Amino acid sequence: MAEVVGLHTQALEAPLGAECLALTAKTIRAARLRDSFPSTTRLRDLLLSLGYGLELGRYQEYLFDARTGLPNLASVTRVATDVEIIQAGGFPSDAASQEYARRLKGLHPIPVDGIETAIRRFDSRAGRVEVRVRVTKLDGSGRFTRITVDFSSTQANWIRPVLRLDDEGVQVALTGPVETMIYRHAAFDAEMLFVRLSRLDGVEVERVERGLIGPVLFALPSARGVETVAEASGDALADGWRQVLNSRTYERGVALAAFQSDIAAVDIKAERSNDPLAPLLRDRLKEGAALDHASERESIPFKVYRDCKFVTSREMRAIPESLMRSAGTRNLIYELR
Amino acid sequence: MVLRIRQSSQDMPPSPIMAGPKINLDALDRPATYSGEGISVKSLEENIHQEREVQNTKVDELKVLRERNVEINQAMADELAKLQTFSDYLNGTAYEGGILAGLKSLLSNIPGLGSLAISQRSIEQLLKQQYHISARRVKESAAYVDTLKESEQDLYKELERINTKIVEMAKNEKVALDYVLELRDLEAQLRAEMESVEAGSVEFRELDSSADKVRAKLAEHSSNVLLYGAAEERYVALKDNTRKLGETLRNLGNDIQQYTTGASIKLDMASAQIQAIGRAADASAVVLEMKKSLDVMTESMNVTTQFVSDTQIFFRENLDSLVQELDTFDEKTTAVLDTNLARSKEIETNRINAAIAKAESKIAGDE
Repeated sequence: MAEVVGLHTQALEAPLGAECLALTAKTIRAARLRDSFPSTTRLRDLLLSLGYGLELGRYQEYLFDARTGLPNLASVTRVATDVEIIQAGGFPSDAASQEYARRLKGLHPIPVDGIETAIRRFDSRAGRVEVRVRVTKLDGSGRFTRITVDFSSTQANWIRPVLRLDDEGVQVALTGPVETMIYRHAAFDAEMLFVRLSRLDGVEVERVERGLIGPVLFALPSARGVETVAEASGDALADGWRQVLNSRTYERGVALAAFQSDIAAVDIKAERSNDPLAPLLRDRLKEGAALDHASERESIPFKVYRDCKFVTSREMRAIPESLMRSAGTRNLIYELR
Repeated sequence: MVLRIRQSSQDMPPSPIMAGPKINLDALDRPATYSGEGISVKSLEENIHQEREVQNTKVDELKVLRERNVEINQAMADELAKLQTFSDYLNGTAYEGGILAGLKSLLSNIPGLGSLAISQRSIEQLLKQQYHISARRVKESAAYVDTLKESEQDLYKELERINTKIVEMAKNEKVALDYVLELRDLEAQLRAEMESVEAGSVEFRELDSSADKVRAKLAEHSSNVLLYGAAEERYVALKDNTRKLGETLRNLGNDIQQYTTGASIKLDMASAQIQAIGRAADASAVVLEMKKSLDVMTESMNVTTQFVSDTQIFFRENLDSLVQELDTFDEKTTAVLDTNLARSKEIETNRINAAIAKAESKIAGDE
């Protein structure tokens, strides 16, 4: 198994590392994700960059999260700092480094985190602004997460604690505390952030949506045996993975990935979870907490919808199918070819 | 041309071909075959100047690196202090007044955040940013190695060139020495023959004319003996300095590589812990884990800071003395050249004699 070199960290050397990166990229591409998920183009660029780093000897090993099979903070930072140094013109001049720099040119690897704020609509007569905020980050669980928040305000004075608008209402930026609030809620249910934001004066929240990439579990046959993620996460998914993984042998690399989405919005008709890995928050709370939660929700008219799609190799297809049967959900499963 | 010299004036024929002992004057017409572009005080000075330029450029590059090193050292020290503050805070020893007071004080260490309240920044985000900066610093330091290796390679190419020059100068010196000896013998023969012919006769005048030509050639090539000899010595001195510079660069490169590899591995390991505790840190929880993570990070920063400090000392101790040596070398050679130029005319005879003496002693040594 790929060596565990640190907390939740595994290392794979080339050529297996490159195989792993290629399989991860293929799996993510197969998921056909919407833009409520972290950019798959930028994630692909990260995986490509890491592959080039291994191929050209810039890095001896590919470091990935032992729970999710995705590049970890060290790997993402390696590429991000390389890009910075290349742009600053301070990159080594040997042939391999220059080739690496050349290949990275034109790529836009996903960073560790990023915040984008944009005005969707601005009505100067009514003093109403509609804003979309997107926070994308590699979160503490080792998954790439994007939170998209759509909200509006009709009273410019009330916006100040939340937004900074320029004089013409063209440029917008979140204030620090709100940015931090969204950033911190990446790991929690969308409805929690919806409730928190709704408490802010002058803000009408319309939609909070989370898109999560991962885990991307993989198994690669090698001379040493099967290289796989050491601490597979995703509860039921990981249990199923371990069970099937140990029950057979593999002649090719296999993968199983989950892509969860979690939406809290005013335009959702019925509240339900179609995610076999994550029931609704109310169903996870104990009796007392569930009552508190229900009373808090009463005053805010929104509903929650959770979903999950899977990408799997044929050998692992039984796992999501079994999960769906148990949870009574109907999910998209894309099979890797 | 072969000039035959007769024993007495009666035997002298009207042509230059004379009966009796013959003096072969071929040496006068045959040019000494020096390799390269020829030499003069000016060309030697120019060539040495060119070689010195290469060294000066490398020394200048090292000076720039030294300045950059100081900047990185300062940045490292600042970041280390910040991380140390994080660490002290988490240790529970640095602040009184609870977590909020502690974190507020902590954040005041981050540029631009001093005026913000604790809730305005995510600790996870801050740690990731700090990690990013540290990772970049280590890479910037590692980039020195590449620059140094490149400079080292340049210097070794320069060494090869200088070695070729040294061999060329040594060969040319030998050619000059051999020629000077040949001319010395020819002059002696001509002078002896002049004794045996009638003073003021045609033969006498011819012999005297040839002797003057030999003397002029002797002067020219004696000068070459000294110039090629001086050039050889100066190229040898340049070579020593170039080699020293190359060795300095290699040692420095090795040290930096060792330090940055260590720091980079430690940072990679710290990243996993930062990632693991990110969410927990924001919730002001799992303080102990955060402390552990910071300890690893602080350790890596310590290693890196140690490296920049050491390289600074290395630079200070080696670069300055190298520059000093180069300056001394410069002054010395310039002085030698000036003296040579000023006295060249007056000491011509002495020079010829010295060259002859050198050639003779070389022959004696070879025997």
